[in-house]
Amino acid sequence: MSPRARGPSAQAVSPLMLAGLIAALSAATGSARHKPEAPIASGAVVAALIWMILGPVWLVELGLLIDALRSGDLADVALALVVLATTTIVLFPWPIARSLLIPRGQVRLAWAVTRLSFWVWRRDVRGGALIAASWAATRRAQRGVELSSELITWIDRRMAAAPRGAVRWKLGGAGIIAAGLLAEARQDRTQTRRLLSSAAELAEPTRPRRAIALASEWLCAEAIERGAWREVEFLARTAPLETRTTKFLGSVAARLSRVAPVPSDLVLRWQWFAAPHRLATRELLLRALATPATAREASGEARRVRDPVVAEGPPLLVALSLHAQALGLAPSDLRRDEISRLARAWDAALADPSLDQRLAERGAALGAHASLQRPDQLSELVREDLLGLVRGAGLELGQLSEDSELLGRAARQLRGELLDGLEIATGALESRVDSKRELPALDEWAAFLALREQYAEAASLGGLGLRRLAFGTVHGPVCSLAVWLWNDRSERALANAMFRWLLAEAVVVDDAAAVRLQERNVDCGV
Amino acid sequence: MAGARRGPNEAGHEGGAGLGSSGARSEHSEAARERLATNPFYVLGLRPDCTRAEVERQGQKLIGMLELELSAALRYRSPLGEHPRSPQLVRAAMAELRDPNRRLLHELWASLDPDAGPDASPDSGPDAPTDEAGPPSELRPFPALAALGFGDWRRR
Repeated sequence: MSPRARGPSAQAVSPLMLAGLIAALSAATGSARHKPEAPIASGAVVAALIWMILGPVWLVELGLLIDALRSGDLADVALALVVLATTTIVLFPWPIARSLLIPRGQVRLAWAVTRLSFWVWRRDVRGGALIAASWAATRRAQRGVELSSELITWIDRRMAAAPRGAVRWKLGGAGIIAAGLLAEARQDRTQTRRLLSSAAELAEPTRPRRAIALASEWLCAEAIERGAWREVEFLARTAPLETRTTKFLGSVAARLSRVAPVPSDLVLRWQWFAAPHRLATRELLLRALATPATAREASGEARRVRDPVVAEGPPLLVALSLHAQALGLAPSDLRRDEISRLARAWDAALADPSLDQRLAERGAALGAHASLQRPDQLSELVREDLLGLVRGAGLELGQLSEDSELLGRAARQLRGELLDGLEIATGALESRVDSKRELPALDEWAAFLALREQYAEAASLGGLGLRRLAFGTVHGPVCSLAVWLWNDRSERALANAMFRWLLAEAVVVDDAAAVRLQERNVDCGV
Repeated sequence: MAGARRGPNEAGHEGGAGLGSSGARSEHSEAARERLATNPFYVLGLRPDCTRAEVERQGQKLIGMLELELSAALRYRSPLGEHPRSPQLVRAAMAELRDPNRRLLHELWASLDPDAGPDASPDSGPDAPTDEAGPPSELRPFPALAALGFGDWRRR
């Protein structure tokens, strides 16, 4: 290729590339200003502009490169390669970051290249770049390269950096997901799961669709790693954003756990074909195809039928035998009737006069303290064990407490503990909000999630009665926190999610005043 | 009640009744399992009606056997299955049974024959129930995080 032939093209390229870069840079700063009501994201406009300018340039450069290769002009090849590489990065930033930089753990490069990804992360390029950086950090740690504190600080600084200008929210769904992936880099799987599943609760404009899709896929994959197929099926079915991957994983899970409607072979094959990572997920397809396409019987085929082997003899022996059997089971496998039977057995054992006699005789023979020669200490231990079993099994206390005196006392104790725990947590939150002691936005969100988990436990164990009491305890402090975040701290995304949760709970517990208040608060939007 | 600005409104501050102190959490059942599995009588392989001299004799014998790594002393049974035995566990069991107040309660819990529990499993430990069957083969876990490009800690 002659210099002359290249001349006009090069003259055309330079101003066009310059214009593209200027547009990209201006958009990179502008994308931080949230305009949720805008019908078209500013990132999409910038992406279209870049493609209109650089797309033809890229094609021309590709042609020039082929010409240069044919003519064997090394200088032209090198020049064309440099221009082509530059334009490729600007035109395809996310595929490059996703397939090259993130798997290699290139944190800073992944972040920088994703800042150019205006199409994929159109409403939140900054959040997308944070996700890329955190994801790359995880992959880096997984490759055995220790994450330096300097690198963590670098990511944290970018997470904490407030966007320029007036913003409605600083932390959105992308930031939460980035923090979750960073927790995975620290091998804190629980926190990762908690943060990734919470991001979808934010209002639509405050969470990029791509980030939510990514989080849904991660959550499904993580549940598969644990063999929790029912959970996978549930996650895929209720995912806020359906992707080809979650569709396929959900169908596999439904087929394997035989949850109706069980997908047919044809559906499975099609969804596998349509989803990415076909080679890597082929084993899942084969496993699913090998499972019968019929729903499991409602009689509970999955549940192992247990006929408890109850020891014959004195009531204490019977109770101990049932106790050992209950402790030997996984908490989630415990049924209500098994705990009821155990509690009744202990009622009988503790009321048996021969137990008092035995304690008195052995206590005297051993020289034990007189206060211990009564079954009170045993009763206390048993009550705590029963409480642990009930909590582990996630059973509702309301009906259980009617079955046995011991369980009744245990239920009263547990109710007290649950409300007490909530009161301590909400008290701390309330005093912090009153004295305006700020935490970073992510920590505020984590504190809310922790409080909500406590509340959920109380609600699931205590039934509607305890749920009402618990709501009365959490409503005020959580609402105050959300109002503070909304009014004073430009964290409307988090505040709005808190208002919406409070509204949903207010409806469940039928608190008319709270419903009215939270309806108004939710209407404030983001 | 009113919000500071045109934005959302705060709720009134509801006061809650004062309640007792917090106590057990759901992981308590794990502690209960541990308590039953490491009952000193089961650890020493003795019945609750044994004498104090028998406790000392059996304890010293087991410590000696464990130092020699004799297979007969390496594991013991409880109603929850089979568990590994260590010199520390044996010493702790002996110490527990020297206290008459503690021994009285341990005697009650050890009334149940350790062989009433599930069959022994070579890999079982105090944290692993031995009566649980594994999941069916099609329900076994799959390394999906690695397959979907989220990475794999096992490569580390």
